[in-house]
Amino acid sequence: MIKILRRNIIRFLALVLAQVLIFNNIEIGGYMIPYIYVLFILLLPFETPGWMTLLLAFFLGFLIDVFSQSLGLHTAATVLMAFLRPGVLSFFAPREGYESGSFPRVFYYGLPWFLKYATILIFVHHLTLFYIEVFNFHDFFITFLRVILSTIFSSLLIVLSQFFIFRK
Amino acid sequence: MRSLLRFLIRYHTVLLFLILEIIAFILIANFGSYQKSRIYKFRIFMFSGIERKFDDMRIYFNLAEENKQLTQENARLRNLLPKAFYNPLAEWSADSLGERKYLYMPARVINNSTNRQYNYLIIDRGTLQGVEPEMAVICQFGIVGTVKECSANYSTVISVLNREFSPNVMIKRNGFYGPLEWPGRNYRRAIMNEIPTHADVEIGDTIVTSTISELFPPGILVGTVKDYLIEEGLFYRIDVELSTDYKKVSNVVLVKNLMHEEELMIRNSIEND
Repeated sequence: MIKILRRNIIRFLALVLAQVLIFNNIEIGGYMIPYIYVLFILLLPFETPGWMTLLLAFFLGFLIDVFSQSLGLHTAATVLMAFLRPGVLSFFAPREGYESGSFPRVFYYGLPWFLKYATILIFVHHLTLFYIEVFNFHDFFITFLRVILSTIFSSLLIVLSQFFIFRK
Repeated sequence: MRSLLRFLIRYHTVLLFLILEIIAFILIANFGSYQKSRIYKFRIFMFSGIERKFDDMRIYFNLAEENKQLTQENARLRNLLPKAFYNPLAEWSADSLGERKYLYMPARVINNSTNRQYNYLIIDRGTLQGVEPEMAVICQFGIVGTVKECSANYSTVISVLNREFSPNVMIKRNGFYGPLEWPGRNYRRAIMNEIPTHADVEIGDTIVTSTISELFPPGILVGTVKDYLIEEGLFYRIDVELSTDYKKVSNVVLVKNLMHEEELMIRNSIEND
């Protein structure tokens, strides 16, 4: 328990720093911007109660907002994503349910499962984020393209991180 | 009472979710333009040290390039000195009668963004150093933006890469002017509007800040014409390649217009008529 807690705290700090110092500076062609900090929410243990996920998401989004001068933006998107996480998890649950002692990772449930689970939540997060940022529907399709391309980019980085950094 | 309690327990996640989202949207609404936030000041108080360290590191890696640019800039300025010209009337044309209009002050960028729709920079000069809102910010490559809000030692700069910002610019060769807008995609490209179709525009034309610009001194480089097309038969829509690479802006110059208030007074007197 203590080990899980410590690991999550370290992951939280590492992801916030990585996002703020590195990934906020990456942008390809004005369309692809990776937001990898959502990985923290994705990797929370299955048993995390809903209210805790929400509060953690709020805190995480708020911290990212404070660093990237966009108060409320990331907070709203991350909280929505955290709210939908239990639903998505139960939708993709294997027939016999999730084993106790396992975590939502490629290592335990395989790449196709993780890809579906992660991409949907990342898509929801990016959709909210980009549309709240623009705050109008004038450039609907261009914003949508930004959402799609950024989702692909973020998902790619997050899935890769599963193989290289968070292997187990 | 008990049913209310049961309701609260049953739907506590949904309620918490709604409360958190409402807080988030209140934050967006109140700090959407983000300058007034006290949290922002807290951030500067807490983290400007870390950001400075990180920025110091970045500056160190750019040192060679930066030196080269500064030397070039020096050389260009030396060329502008009266000494650089042979002029028998130099003694008479020396600018001692005219009043100084612009004052330049260097500053360093400590935070910058290019990947959002409304981008801002933070610089390490504030009211204590004489920075005021609406001062122009330029760098050796061209325009950067204008000062939006100042604290004691820091200021936020609204960048050209901000969809709310549209400085007035002109084609240097023939003087036609119009607003510059950033459509929010490529950080190297902006759009210039309202140039009538009888104007002669060519690819490669230089775009500079216009003489009617309220904020910028005239003639500061903005970019070059990359492409143009005629929109609705009346106006050109000119694709401008910005001369400033906003991803590597690190040293900027603040321009104080000493006659700003006087100009504002005259402008307002027209509007009040």
